[in-house]
Amino acid sequence: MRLDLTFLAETWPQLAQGVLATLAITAISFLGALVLGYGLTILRLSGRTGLQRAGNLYVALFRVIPELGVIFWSYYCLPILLGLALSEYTCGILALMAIGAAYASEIFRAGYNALPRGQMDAARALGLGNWQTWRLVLAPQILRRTMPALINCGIDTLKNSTLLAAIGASELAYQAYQIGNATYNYLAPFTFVAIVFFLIIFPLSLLSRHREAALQRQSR
Amino acid sequence: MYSIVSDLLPGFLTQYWLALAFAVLTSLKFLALGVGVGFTAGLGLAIAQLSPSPWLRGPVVALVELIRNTPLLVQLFWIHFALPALTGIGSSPERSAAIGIALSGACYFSEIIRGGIQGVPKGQRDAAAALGLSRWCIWSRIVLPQAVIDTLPALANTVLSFFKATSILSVIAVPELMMTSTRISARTGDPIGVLTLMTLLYIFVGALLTLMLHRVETAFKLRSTR
Amino acid sequence: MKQLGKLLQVMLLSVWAVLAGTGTGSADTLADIKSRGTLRVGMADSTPSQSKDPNSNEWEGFNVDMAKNLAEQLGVKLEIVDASWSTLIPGLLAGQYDIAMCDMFATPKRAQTVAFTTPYMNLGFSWVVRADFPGEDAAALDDPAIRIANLSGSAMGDIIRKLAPRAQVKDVASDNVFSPHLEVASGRADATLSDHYNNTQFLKRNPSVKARILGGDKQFQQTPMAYAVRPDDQPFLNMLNSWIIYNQTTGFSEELRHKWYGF
Repeated sequence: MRLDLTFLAETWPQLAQGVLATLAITAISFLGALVLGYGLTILRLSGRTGLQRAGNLYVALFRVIPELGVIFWSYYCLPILLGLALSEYTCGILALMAIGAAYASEIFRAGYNALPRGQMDAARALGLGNWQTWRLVLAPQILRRTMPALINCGIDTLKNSTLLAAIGASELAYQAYQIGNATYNYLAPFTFVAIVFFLIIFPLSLLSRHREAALQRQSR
Repeated sequence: MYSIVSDLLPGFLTQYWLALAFAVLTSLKFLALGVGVGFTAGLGLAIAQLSPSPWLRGPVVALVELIRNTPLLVQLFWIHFALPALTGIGSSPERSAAIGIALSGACYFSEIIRGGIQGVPKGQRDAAAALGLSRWCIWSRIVLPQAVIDTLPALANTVLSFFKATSILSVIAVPELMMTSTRISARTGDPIGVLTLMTLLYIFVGALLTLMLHRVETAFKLRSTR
Repeated sequence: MKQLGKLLQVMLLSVWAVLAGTGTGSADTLADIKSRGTLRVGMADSTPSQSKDPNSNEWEGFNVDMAKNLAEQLGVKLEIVDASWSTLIPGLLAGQYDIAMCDMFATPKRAQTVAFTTPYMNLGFSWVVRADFPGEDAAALDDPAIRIANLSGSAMGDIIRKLAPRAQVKDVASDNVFSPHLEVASGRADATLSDHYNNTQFLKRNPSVKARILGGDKQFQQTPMAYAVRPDDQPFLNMLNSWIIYNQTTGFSEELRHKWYGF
């Protein structure tokens, strides 16, 4: 078996474009997932049974449907349901957002539940309003506590973005497939993809470990 | 779109229901392997990750990071082609898939359990040592049970995400649910119907798994609070 | 942390070196097959050329019958090794099987990685277009406003770009052969050029889809299909080429084509 690297000389513009597309798709999807996941968490903590059930059902569903299934549905069925013409990028990003939101919501909820109950009362006693309590007391703590988990959620979104190749969004894995299909040399482009992923994810993973360790030091 | 689905569901279902059932079982077989072997090996790797010796800790942390930070799809490629070349032992898709999912499972579980172990106050270990308990006893009776129970929700999430990840095994032609569905869809010319049914099957089996994991979680929590 | 980075660097480099350094093994596959007593054939799904029946778990199709014939001619047993389209060629190069017998399109780029046999048959293709596509003339597809879907890795991509150089071509990287048909069915593409058999199959099973085959029920493009062996395998390749031509002369290939493709 050979690992022929000459493909890099010819295809680097294609691969560079793929890296940029992957980063852009991931960034938009993850930001969307955070916003959507936040909204979802509010529903799930609202105390209204109907909304709570709907929110929980959403999370349960997206935790078991394979990502590729969600992507196919979003691509082939969503435009028909909405009666809109949506590009492969829009559908792919919507699918990644929907999946990420379920996970982000789980993380936010766990972060909220971990807060000591007394804090809310203490903030009230100090005369802080709802918004101030949330912004000054609760939100910063939740964010700090959930940071490692949120970084991992972002990493998952990045990994899932490779699945958009199946609907023709020209991200990094798609370019690797294209090069493989054209030259019948698959191993080298996919190894290249793995190395790029490693270079992006490894520092994030270190950051996540570092934040986690810092949190544990604080909580002691 | 809906009429297509309703037109065609029965046709391939009567013809291929047995193949689909077997495909679900194959997916579950690899899930069991990834979770079973992965969790067991993950316990060991987690302890090794926290070892004071850099010669043990270094390689284990490197392996865990390497596996967690690259896509499973590429790992399967490597295992399927590079490993036979290195060891001289031939590989089948099933064998490569088994190695790939077990390795991945070990690394993901190890990372979660490591977090759990670090969450157990270190004072407990010192206290147990002061009481003269053996190292084996300290880890197996005091630290690991707490680490596992504390991280049960995260462990359950990982089980579910591995259930989904079994679909990636289709890239090396393992006949699990995704691969079999693609095959049936190519034979019947009905991709929408088959893929819809496939999604429903994933939801159904996934829901059962979720319930099961929930039961396990509650049972363990009850025991630990007693 | 710095140490960790170094360690990882070394690990990656060594994996790389190992991958780059391993050879392809013996170059006389023909002799190996004879002494082993088994012909190992790699196959990836593509109906009706070769596919695994999900119920019986047996491979069947045109190329399966061809492989049985080849094993018979060599006087050895046949073993079919499962692959997917992305692992088919790496598996061949890694020596997991002796030959890849799938409906492959021999291009000069691919021929730098593997050695192709003489074409064993010409596969028929046809255009699937949106139901409201005007006229029956494929020349109308060569228009910048037209979007044509293609399954990445199939022979079609190159042909589409030749036949309709001005149209927008969208490649989909999927193992599902019907991905380009779904593009047309969902109105995202105006046309796709695909295997005629799959085209008729798709339209027959999905009567409510608003698409049709251009120019009636006729295939128009004949594309040669070939098998692949490792590039340094000249003796085996010579044998295969003679075998393919022999089967065409005796009419065996044509018989199989009628049986599996119906033309």
